Amino acid sequence: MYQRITKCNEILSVLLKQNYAKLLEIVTNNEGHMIYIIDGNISFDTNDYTIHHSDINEIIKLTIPAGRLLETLLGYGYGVISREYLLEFVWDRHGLRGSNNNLNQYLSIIRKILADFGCESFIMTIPKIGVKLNEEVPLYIIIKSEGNVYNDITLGLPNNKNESDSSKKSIKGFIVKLVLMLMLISIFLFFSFYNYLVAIKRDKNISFEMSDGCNIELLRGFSMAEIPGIKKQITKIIKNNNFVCNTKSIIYFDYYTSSGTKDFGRTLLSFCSLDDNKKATLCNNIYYDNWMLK
Amino acid sequence: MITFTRNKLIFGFFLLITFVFSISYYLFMGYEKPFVCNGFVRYEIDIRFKEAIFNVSQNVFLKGNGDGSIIFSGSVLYDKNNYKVNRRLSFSSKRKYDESMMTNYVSGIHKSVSDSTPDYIFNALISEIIPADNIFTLQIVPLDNNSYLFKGPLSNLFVCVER
Repeated sequence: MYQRITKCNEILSVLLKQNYAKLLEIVTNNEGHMIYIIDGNISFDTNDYTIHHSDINEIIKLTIPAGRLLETLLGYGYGVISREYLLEFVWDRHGLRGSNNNLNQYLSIIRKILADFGCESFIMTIPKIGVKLNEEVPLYIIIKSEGNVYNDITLGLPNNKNESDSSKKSIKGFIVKLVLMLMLISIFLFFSFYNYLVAIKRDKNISFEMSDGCNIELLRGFSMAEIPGIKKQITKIIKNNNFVCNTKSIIYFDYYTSSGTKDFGRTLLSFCSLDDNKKATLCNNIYYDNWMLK
Repeated sequence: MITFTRNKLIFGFFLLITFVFSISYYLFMGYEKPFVCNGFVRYEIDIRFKEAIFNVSQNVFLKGNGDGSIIFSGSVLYDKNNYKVNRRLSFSSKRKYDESMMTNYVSGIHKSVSDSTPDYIFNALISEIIPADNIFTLQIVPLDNNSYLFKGPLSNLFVCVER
């Protein structure tokens, strides 16, 4: 198995997700071990604490404290690791007594070996806190098992399938979020401009045609009983104003008064000439503040 | 193969948002351009028991925020006298309910030097649009592609054709 490390927890989660928990158990039970690949061509085997440079084919065996220190550092991934943690895991837990001087000394040794192999600045000191691995240096892990059952997955060649799957999932998730966000924005825009969209709609009013083909549209609702009286008044207003109403024109009409009175009150007749596309080109309006029925 | 990093995707996302907003602005903010329409109106109004006949051309200029003006240009016949009308009614938006309905207050009535109409005669016309308090509500209803009905507080006022 070949996997890019970012954080120690990530290794675990990746392993668990891929049902390799058993494999990790093998490592823990010393039935298998890990090989870390640093910067592509330096490998560190946790079984015998050897560092191998594949290009020049040189192997250096680390002392136990140095090997344990490098194993702890690599196992932590790219996170910041405190000096106390290193002292405890490298020395105290093994019944040894470590000190800051010891730690500095072994860090120095490891740095020198890695630098000799062309990997400089891999272990960085965080003043007053601890150390961390340089994220710009790629780090991979191979879990190796001697058992036949796991041979096919433990001794595999570099396999970036999992990484690309994870990347694909990440992109897919991002696209889903993107689409959701765009939908929200679209809804927001729709409601923001809803008034603009509905403003152009209006209810269709009563319209009819006079005998000469003249179109009349009433600007509000009327009962059918009122229509003959309205037609009569419209004819009178047209005649009074010398309008020639035919198929090339439209008349809009409305009046506003109480039905109990004997006149039409405020009355508007708008005579609009139409072009060939039935679009109004000019409107002449007649407005009476009190159109008297005659 | 093209690879997308998260940063590239975020950049692309913001680019897309900018594009969507730009298009929306272009499509919808077009309504912000001034609305201009024109119509001829013959008002027959009683003033002090005598009939006044206005023959005016009305040019409406309306900005997206509801501010605007109506220019009255023509003549009025009253008590056998003919007067020239040339005035501009300017108004500012007090409240805009939607694209078609707004309440305005009169910011001024400007009289041209060529206008010879006595104010009390012109005010009779204006009172059909603005009954009181210098505040009036206008509603603009589209009738077809380019003609609009102006509804005043008292009644429908006139139909004009968009220019």
